[in-house]
Amino acid sequence: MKHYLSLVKVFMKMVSMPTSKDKRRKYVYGFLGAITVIGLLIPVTVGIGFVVYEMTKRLAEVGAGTLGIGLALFFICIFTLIFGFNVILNEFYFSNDIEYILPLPIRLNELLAAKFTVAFLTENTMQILVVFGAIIGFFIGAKSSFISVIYGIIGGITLPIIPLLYCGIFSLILMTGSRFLKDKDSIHKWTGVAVFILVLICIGSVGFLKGVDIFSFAEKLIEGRDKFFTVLKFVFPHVHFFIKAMETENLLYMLLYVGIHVIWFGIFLFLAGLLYEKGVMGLQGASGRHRERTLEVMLKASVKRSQLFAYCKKELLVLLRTPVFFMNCVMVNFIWPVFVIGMIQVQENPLTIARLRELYAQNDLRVQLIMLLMVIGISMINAGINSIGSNGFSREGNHFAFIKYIPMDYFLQWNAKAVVGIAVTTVSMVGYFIIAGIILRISALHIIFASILSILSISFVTYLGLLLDSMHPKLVWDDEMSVLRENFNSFFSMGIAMLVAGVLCVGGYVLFCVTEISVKALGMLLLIALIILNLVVLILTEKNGVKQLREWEEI
Amino acid sequence: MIEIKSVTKSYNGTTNAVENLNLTVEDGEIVGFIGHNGAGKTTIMKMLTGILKPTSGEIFINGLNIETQGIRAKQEIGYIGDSPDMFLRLKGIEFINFIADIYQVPTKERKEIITKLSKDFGMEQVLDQQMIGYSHGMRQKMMVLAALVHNPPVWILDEPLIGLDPTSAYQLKSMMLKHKEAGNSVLFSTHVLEVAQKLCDKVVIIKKGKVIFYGTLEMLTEQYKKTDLEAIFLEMMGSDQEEEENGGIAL
Repeated sequence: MKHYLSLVKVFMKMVSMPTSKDKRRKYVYGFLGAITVIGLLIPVTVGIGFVVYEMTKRLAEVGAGTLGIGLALFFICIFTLIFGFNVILNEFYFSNDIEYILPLPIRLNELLAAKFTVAFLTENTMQILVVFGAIIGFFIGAKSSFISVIYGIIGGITLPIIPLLYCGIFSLILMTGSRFLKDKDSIHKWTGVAVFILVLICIGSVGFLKGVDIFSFAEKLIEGRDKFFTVLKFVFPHVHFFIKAMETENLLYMLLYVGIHVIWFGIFLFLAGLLYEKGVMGLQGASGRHRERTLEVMLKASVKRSQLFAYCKKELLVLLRTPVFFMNCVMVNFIWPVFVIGMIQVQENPLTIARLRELYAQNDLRVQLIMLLMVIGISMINAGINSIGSNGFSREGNHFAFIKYIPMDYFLQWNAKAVVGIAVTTVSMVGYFIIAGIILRISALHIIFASILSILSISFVTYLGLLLDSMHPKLVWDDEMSVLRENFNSFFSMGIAMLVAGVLCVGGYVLFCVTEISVKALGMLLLIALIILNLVVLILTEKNGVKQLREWEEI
Repeated sequence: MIEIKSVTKSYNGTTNAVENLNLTVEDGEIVGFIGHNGAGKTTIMKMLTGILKPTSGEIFINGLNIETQGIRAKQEIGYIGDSPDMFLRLKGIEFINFIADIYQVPTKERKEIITKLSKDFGMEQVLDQQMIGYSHGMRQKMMVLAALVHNPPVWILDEPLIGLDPTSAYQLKSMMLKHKEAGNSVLFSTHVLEVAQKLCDKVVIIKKGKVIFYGTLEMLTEQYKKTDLEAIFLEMMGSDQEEEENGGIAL
């Protein structure tokens, strides 16, 4: 393992986002980080912690005080398993450094151990925070001792290792056994589809939980009759030992927890030495599909267009043709209704379409209000999640200089990027609003109003994302996946979008309840608020953003 | 014409990557940039094209200030940067059309230029493919095609011959000569001294951001009393010890 530490050090430097040399940008960046923590991380962590605390306290009476923490930790392991696979696959097989490292006299299991470590360190900040939220909820609910806290800290940090090791082992086997997956684009496409299917299955599973009486569920668990939990315990035994260690304070369980990690890591290293070379050899970069047209035929379509049109087309083609961007920035816009439907279905008394239609026809103000707020909330969060704006400049990577040497106004280039981001997000959002409008028999005027609110929400988040990215674009990246996963700007943009959406929605709801303002008037107020937000972000773009872009020299 | 007036570039406020550079590339001239790796050639080219801003001094492209009249000045330039891996998901034809649109090349004119250049560089068969499937040399050819699609009067080329096959390299060199004969300016960097010797009217030799020679090759050989450009270059760059410290000379 003599090269292990050096490799980890080098890889960490490659994935880290360098801090800006400009003091002002550094402060602004720090401030945005704080907003993200407040808007995104703290609410999620506190929320999970609270649920676990409540479950621990209540279920302790029937002897199932660990059910809450168990569910939370199993959920995090499943989440890591689903979303970690692509990360591990990319890190092991598709990062550009591989072709330089493979010829070096480094043992392959040493190389993969280093790559695994880097993937673990860089990918699991969010998961680890959620784990700690759950653990703290458990500590408070179960009134744990000091020893439990120590075990909790150790387990909290290391919990995602086992699911990531599964991803590593599975990717080693998959890449060795499959000739069909030797093309980078195919892999990204199919793993994206697989992740989508797994997410659907998870949402479906959550749907099954509706109507389940938690106390009888706990009883079944105690008696070992619940198959789902038994399977999870078998797949993630470390979670079981970790919870047992915290619950009983018995060192033996902690040792078993560590032992399982050692065994799986050993298996991973053994397979890495055995299989990695077979899998990595013969990998092809993306080749791109093509038709065979003659030059004459091609030139027929070579017609002069405006700069804006050409730039938008280029941006759109990059998004649509790069599988990583297509799956994460474009497709993600079309799957949000699945989550919404899933969330509705897990309610105790889910609203049926017929009931919604009836309530809307009856002019039920609460339903109208919820629809109004959901339009803004979902549009903002969706534009934040797809990160088309917040990686708009980072996507340029090592040819960022192109922006600067072409004879095209910076603001126009900026707008082209924004237009594409807004258009891609809007197509899905407004499309779904129209479908929902037809199904629920919503008036055309309301659909148009909802679409305007949605476009304004998307526009605000997209321009904000670009503004963040212009301040500190991540231009040094190995592969397209790094633009998304190693880019703080996407994370910040998502956090700020959630915070602003939360402020508008909660503010709107409170205003409605307190002042008894009509839904129409509230809608107009929200429209004005969104116009103001857009104006602010546009002024900031023109005054500061473009200047930042012009002066960006770390190329 | 390219005019560089008292240009200094400092990245951290203390060390100058380029120091007080004064240079004029006249119309009808090919000027070659020669220097160690890291001597400041690319930094200068990036300042000429508006990618980097000089810390002090001014740059004019055909009389247009690159800083204050940026858009118009950039319209005059055909630039090939140091990396051809650009917009690889676009097809060759889409990339050239995109660049042609950015430079607002009229339809008729672009069709003629694309036809000519793609045939000259043997690219007409692959223009319908995404550039991600191209070899390094093919990508470099695409950069050449894209840089020249708007028929710019001023060519700024950062090591343009790297990766080109002999036929394409010959084509580009011929085009540089024709461009010069038509009264335009070419400024390019190279590590290959023979190329500089064959093509350049003048050479600029840079060391640590400072011009240590600017003039014709005749002036250079006369000054050093030698005809071998390689020997002159080595002498100018200093001792072997210093070369090693600077990362060696790529010839």
